[in-house]
Amino acid sequence: MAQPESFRSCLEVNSVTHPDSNSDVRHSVGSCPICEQGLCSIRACGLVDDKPSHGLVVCDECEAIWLQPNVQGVHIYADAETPKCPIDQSPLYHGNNRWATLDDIDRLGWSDAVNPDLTYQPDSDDS
Amino acid sequence: MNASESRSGAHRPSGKKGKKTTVAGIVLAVVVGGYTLLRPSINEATGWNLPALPGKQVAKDSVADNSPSPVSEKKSSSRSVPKQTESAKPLTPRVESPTRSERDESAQSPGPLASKMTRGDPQSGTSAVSNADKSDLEYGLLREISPDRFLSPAGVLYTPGSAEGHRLEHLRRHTEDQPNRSGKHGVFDGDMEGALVTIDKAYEKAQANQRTTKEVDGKRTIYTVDMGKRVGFVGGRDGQRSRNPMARRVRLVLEGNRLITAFPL
Repeated sequence: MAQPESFRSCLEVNSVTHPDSNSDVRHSVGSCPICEQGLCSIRACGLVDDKPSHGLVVCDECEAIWLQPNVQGVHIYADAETPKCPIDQSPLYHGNNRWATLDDIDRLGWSDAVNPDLTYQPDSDDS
Repeated sequence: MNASESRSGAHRPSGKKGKKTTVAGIVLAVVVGGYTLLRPSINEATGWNLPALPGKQVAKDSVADNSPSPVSEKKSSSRSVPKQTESAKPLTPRVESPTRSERDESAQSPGPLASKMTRGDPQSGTSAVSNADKSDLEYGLLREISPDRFLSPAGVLYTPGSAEGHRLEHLRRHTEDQPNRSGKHGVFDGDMEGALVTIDKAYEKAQANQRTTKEVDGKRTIYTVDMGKRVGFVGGRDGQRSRNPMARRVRLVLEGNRLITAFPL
C-alpha cells in the first residue's frame, strides 16, 4: 500500500536529515510499565563532539520519558505533535540526539541499566 | 341480511382456524422479533456470526454492524468527543464524512414498511456516491482536515509525531509482525485499512464505555477494549514463542482524541 502523499514529505524530512531516527539499534532498560508493549530505549541527547551531555529513556510506543534509567520512577510526556527533549528542548527525534550507542550509554554511566535481551534493531525485521 | 351480517357469516365457519393462525402468527412474530433483537448482542457477546433473517437482511445488518450499541447511544457518544483544540474542527468533517452519512442513511432509511417497498436500486446509488467520496479519503477512511492531520469517522485524530514522523506511520508498524522485537508486538488484521477501522470501532466502544478499561495518566488516556472477536494477533518474540495467538483486545493510547499509539493485545 502506498503511503498517502500528504504525509510522505514529512517522513522524508525525518529520514533525510536524521537517518538514525528509526534505523539504529536500540538499547533498552525495560518494557514500558505504562503501555505494556513499548521498549524503553535510551536516547543520547545534547551531543557535543558526538558525545551525549545527557540521556533520556523513551518508550517507543507511548513515548513516556524518564530522565533516569529507572522506568519505575517518575515519567513525563513530551508534546505529542512536536516532541522535544525535556532538558534542552531540542526536537526529541531529529534534534541534536540519537538512539544511544553502547559508547553513549557508557558515557552516560547507564550501562548497568541496559537489558541486553531487549536490544532491538528495527531494520532486522524489514523484509 | 345486510352486508355486515354476510361478512361475519362468512368468517364464522373458519373462526377457530383463524384464531389458531393468529396465535401461531403471534408466537412466530415474537420468536422472529426476539431473534432479530438479540442477534447483535449474542454476536457481540460470543464473537459468533449468527445469520440475519432473510428479507430484511440489508437493513438489519446495517444497523447491527454499525451499532454494537443502540444507534441513539452511538450518536450521543460521538457528540461527546473530547474538547481538545482539534475537536472544534473535526465536527464539521465528521458530519460530512461519507462513511458516517452512508451509515446513517442505511440505519435510518428502513421504515416500518421498508421491507414491503420496492425501490429501484438504492444500494447502487449510495455506493456510487460513497466510492467517489472515498477516493478523497486516506485509506478510504480518513479525512485530511489540515495538512498532515487526518480525522477518522469516529473522531480519532492522526497527526505528525512519534519517532516515525507521523502517527499513521507509527501505526503501520502494527500492521506487520516484528518477529525480532523483544516482548510482544500486536499486529492488526487487514493492513492499514483494517487497523484504522478496528481502531475506530474500539474508540467508539471506549467512548460508550463498552467492555473497556480506562486509565488516565495526566493528558494521556489508555483504553483497553475487548472487541469480542479477533482483530489481529500477538507477534514479536513473545508472540512467536506462543505461536502468535489471536488478539481480541485493542489498547488505545490517546491524548484527547489524538492517537498516540494503538495495538492489538
